[in-house]
Amino acid sequence: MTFASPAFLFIFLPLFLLLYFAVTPKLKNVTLLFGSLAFYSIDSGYAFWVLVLSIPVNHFIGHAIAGQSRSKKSAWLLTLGVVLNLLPLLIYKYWGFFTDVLNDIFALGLMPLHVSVIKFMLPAGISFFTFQGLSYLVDIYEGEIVPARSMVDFGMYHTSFPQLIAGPIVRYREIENEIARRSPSLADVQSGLMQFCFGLSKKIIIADNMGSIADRIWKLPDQQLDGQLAWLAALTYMLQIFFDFAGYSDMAIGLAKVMGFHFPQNFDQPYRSQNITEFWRRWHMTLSRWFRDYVYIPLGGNRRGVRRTYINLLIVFVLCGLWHGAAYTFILWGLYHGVCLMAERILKHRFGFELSGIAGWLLTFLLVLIGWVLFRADTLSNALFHYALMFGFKAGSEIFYGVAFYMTPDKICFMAAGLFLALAPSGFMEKIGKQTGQLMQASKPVFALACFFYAVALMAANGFNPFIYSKF
Amino acid sequence: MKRGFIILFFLICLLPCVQMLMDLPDAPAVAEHLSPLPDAEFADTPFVWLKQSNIWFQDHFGYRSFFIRLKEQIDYDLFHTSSRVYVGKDGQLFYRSVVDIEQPEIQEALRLHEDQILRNVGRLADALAKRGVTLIVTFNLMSNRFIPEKLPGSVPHPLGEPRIHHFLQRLRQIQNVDYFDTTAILQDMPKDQSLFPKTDFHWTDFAAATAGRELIRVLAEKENRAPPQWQPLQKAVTPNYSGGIADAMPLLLGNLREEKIGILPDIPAPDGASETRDDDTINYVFHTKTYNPTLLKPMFLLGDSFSFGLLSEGIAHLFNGFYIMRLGPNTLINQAMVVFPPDAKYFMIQAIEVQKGFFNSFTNDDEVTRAIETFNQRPLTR
Repeated sequence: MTFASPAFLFIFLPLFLLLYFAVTPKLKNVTLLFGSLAFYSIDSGYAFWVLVLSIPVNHFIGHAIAGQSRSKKSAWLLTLGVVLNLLPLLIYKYWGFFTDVLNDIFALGLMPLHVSVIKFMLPAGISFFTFQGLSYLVDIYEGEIVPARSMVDFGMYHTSFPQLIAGPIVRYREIENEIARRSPSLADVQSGLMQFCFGLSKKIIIADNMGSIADRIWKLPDQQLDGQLAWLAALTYMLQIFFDFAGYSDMAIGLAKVMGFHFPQNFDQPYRSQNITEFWRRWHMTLSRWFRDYVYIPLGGNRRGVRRTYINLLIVFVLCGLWHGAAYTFILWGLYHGVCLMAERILKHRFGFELSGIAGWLLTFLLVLIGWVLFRADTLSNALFHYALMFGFKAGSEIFYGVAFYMTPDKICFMAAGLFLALAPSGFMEKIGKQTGQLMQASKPVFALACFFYAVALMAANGFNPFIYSKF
Repeated sequence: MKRGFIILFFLICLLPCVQMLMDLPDAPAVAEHLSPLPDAEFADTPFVWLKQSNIWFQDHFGYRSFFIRLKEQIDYDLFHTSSRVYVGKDGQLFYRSVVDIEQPEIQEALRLHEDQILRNVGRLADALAKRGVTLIVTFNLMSNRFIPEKLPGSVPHPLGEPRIHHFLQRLRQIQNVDYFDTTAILQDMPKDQSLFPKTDFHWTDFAAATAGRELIRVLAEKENRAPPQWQPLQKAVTPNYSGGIADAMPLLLGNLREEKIGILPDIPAPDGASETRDDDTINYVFHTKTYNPTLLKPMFLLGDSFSFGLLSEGIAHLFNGFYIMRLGPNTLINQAMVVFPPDAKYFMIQAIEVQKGFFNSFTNDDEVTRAIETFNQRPLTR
């Protein structure tokens, strides 16, 4: 189940919240645990058991590590925990890809070998809960946290439905105190629900509308594509992926706030960034932090010389690409960002030049947009073809659907709203609210409900569209 | 204020289920295919059952029709657009599915198979002609070809001439095929006469009946007869008409409506003639009691919904026999040959330009071969 589905909005959410607030504080964690498992069971199929099994595995290994205080045995236990967490991810997400790669290597070497490919259905959110499990065990090993008191407490943290499917990646230490005790105020509940409404609207009103353009252009046969359409597809996808994911994060953070949790922020106007380094400080912040703390720093970070720093950066970003999807295009997308970051560091450290200002913003915006083509394309050749169209090296001979076909008045309106919201300075709306006084403050909840109502109408009319990031 | 917001949020979330449980009134249902109830047993396959239930709920939650209509109304009033329909100038509506999908599909089909289609039409025409049956083909172009100035700017535009024009030019050159050109008839009609209703994709009854009269004139000339003396068409006004395209744009405040001018049938059936309409393979059968030499030879018409307009004045009564079989997207030509009426001397295929039944039949060599074999085995009367 996802947040933008009727069953969630009209059955699960109201019933769950009514039950959650009806039970005593002692029962809240167990209510949330079982609610989250019910939430996950709807669409997950038999992968549900992967999530269920990961609860006792991490809980017991966590306690076992804590009992050893950084001994050799605790290192072995940590290794065991890491392997057990990664195993389902490797099987469900990467097994098919790895066998594809192996077959490609055999084909290159002209070896008469072929490994048969078995591809599994990817359980929703597996990359997210795997990373949460890993950070939990590593943090216990490092002595930064103590394990959860009970399996219910850990299970609740590990499976909590607001962040289960598509993040943000919440570390145990960030909500450790709230797991034990939390008491959301009326203001928290209202503000959380408003954030949920705005998040849902970002997803359904902006992301899905932009996505409908991007999807239709991407499906066109090659001869019906030209440069204008290719740029339009890239721009609409750029808006789709941001509002899809940022919308989901807002909904997750909002729902968590309703229940008394304070989840970390996941996006901070990334498309306003003036260089790629800044972009990665603002985009999917919880993932960037995870890679920084659990991969980049353990690899040596920037402490082992310039060359090693660059290698570490590339390793992190290739892994980041692979985390997003098991395909060459995702690896190249990660590598592309790694190379951009490396170039920025070289420019800064060797020539004292740092991208900034309007030129920096424009170049960063373009680089990120170009990168999204790799991310969206089904295959590498598809991505290359798209680039050739964008830069005028190719053009179709049978252009039937022009830009005007896709940019109907409603889509122009939603794109303008999307660009405004994506490019407005952080806290811009809050500042406007403060300057216009109480009227604006009072109209915000009404606006939130109006957006929610319209989002539901769109959901009914356009059917269900899954979140992009739930596939990772 | 905070409490009010929270209560309102919960009310919106709970209302759909309350509507379902208490069967509260909802907006009229929207025409669409909905997913069925889960058929799996929960105990046997719980995950499948849960998934199917989720999909079912997605299509059936309470007030869904209201929400769909609300969205369409907002689109129409605020953006003057619709996800299913093009809203053109003067309120003229066009199906998006036709303009965006079906016409490009046919364009592509003709790019790939035009020669094959024409060859197969020729093969069928030759086979019919050998046994004394004339093949008449007529194509109805869609409204956007006749009134392109009413289309909104966002419609797709092919580069160059649509292939359908080239196809029809070549179709009329095939030996043994009598091409009946409705496009020319409609283009020659007075400019003040509307060819298409604003809310429907069929031609107006007036335009269709005019084409019907021309068909009779052409056939009478072919049989060396004088055409009938026509009286002015009798008009029937429907004040609150709402056609199929308006139905496809389900507005909350009711479908768009217009005044429709129809035609009253005014050609009586000859004495003793029989006329039946049913849902059999042949939907309409008209037959004179005995062969009347003053009437036209019997016709078998394989046509889609446009053919009903063609016959609206009652011109079927000017034939010794008239048989109609409905041409749909899944109809194949051999199905018509299986029921070919023994006395028919004309076999007329009427198709709209996006009629898949026609194109699927004639892009399939085996199907046409089968149809010819079937026809050759059918008994025919002299």
